[in-house]
Amino acid sequence: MQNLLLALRNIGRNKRRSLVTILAIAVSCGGLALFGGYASWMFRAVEEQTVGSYGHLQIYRKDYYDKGTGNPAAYAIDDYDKIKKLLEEDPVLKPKLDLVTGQILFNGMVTSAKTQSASTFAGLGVFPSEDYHLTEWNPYGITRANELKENANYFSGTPELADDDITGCSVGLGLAKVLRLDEKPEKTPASSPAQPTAASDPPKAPASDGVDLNFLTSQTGPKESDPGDKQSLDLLVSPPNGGMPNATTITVRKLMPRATKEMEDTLIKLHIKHASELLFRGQPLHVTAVIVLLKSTDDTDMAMARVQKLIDDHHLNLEQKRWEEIRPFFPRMKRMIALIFDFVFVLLVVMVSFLIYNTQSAGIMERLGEIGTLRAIGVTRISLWRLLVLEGLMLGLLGGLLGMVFAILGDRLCQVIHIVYIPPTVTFYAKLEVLVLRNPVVLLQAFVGGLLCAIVSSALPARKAARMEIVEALRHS
Amino acid sequence: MPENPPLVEAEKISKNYLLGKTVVAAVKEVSLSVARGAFTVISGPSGSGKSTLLHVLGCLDKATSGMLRIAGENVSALGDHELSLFRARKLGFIFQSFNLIPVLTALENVEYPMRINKVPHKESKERAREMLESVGLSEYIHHRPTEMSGGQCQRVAIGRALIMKPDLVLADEPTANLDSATGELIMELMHELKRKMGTAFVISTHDPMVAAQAEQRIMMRDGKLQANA
Repeated sequence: MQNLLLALRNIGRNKRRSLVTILAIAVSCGGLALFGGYASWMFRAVEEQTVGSYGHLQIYRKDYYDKGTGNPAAYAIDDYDKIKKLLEEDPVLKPKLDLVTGQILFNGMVTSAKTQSASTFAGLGVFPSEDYHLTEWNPYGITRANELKENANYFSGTPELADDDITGCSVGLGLAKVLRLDEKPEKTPASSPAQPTAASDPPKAPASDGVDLNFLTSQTGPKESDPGDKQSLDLLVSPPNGGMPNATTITVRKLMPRATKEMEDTLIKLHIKHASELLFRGQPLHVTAVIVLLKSTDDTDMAMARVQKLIDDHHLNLEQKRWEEIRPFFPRMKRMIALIFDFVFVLLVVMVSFLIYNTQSAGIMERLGEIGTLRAIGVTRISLWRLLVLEGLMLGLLGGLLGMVFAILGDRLCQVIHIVYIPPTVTFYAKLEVLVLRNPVVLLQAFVGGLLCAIVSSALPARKAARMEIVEALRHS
Repeated sequence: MPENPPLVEAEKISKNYLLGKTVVAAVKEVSLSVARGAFTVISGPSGSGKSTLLHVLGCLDKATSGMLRIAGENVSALGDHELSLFRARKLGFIFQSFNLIPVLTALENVEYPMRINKVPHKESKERAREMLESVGLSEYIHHRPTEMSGGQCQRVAIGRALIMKPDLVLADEPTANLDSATGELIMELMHELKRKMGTAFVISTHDPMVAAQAEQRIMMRDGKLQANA
């Protein structure tokens, strides 16, 4: 206690020097915590976006991931309901699961009769409400793109898809430009003859080896009455087992930005029942991927192990991939940001260490006589060393605490001043956030870093002072 | 063993310094003894080696050769850590420039040696208060050294030196920074406390007034003991 008191009072001797040192530590610790909070936001935003698109795990038919991208539908899973039930009813997985859903991915050609334009596309069939639930996954509470007024053009108004709108679709902005679609398409009214009678009962397409014009017609009433309707698109896809292409007409509900430019330029999202029927006419629902969304990303390893056990136990011809494998961008980005963080961390550590070393050395030089006195009256070398290191520690502690306050203020300030920007690889606005309060680990890391710096950089001058000859030190009285 | 062994026994103490490449002999084979409760003065001209001898006797500096025994302990054989503990328990120091810790109050300065010796807080505070009363500073217990006169600071230093009831107090020119009246008062105080506590004092000084009060007088010249009376 006496040492603590003495250390605090010694810090107060040269107030300006101590204040400058404390401020430098505070700015460094605060800056580090803010950068950590920013990196944390980036990691979580990308994780949230990736998991919100792909889930934590995707289960495919074996070899789909390596060989199926050219013809995904050829690797479709035809017993989706059975697999979904198996996963949802597993007692180990059940408490961890947020959602099990399916997707079907396919490629084809899209044309717009009205604008006389055509393009290749990537089709993604989803269960609309489940897909919406998937995209809403946000356990970290970060500001989502659809909450920003800057993105209101894209995310307001009609939902992208609806469970009861079998023929509705959303088109990526880039593809919409190619097809020269209206910027704000309005959904065809529900009473429109274009709608199937029931979402769960999509119109059956007759078997045919040729272009399935009857199927096309049955799906798209408006096409007959208004072949030039700008909201309608014709899709042409090759059946997975070969033969003549199948065709259908879909209604554009919405034009949407996508997470990446590539997706924005190619993706058409539609009801999975429509997509499955288009590819596997008259057959039960097919999916190319069963998506597993967990409540927490921390459970991914556990869930993966469990899913693998289920696959093995039930001799299913399936394989699985975790979200970081599906989008390797994430671990690469994470590594890059971590490296930048480490670099900045080292720079700040060196700077703060030199500053504390300098402050401590100067303070010790000014107090050599006093150090000699303390040693003369019986303070041991180790006790003196501890006292001097305690002074450095107090500087680090005060600077670190102030740094935490700076970081928290920075966090709040970022929330208040509302900085938005378009991040690389993404096509819509994101709000800059620093997850300092929502990820207090960064605060703790910066604080402990500051303290360690203070201890290490004051240990050396303290050692030098403690090893001085008493008589030599007393000469400076 | 004699019935009343001396408090300090020094046998052929030498202390050499290395000045560049030259060896300087500051103290040359000095032998002396100091009785318990004695008031000993080391005097001599500047550079005679009296401060060096005082430092060696105070275990602040190690002799190059010779044997030193204080309170029955062969301090020549002790390491730095043990010497620190020995100083804390058995020795007290009074310096020319008072050498108080400027950030501590008078009370805290006097308390400090008890902190080193792990005396319980309540007891140390009480004893420090009593000590300051006995040196006439009861009204200054919460004053810092910068808020006190030289004489008052030296009183605090005397209190600090005596608070652990040491066997020996070493004082290096204790009156040099004081006016003669204050110096005399300080010497009176030291005598009074010596009588009350039975502590031996070894004082290094130029001051004839101080030297005149010695019960044992050691004269140094050129590092050698010239007279021990």
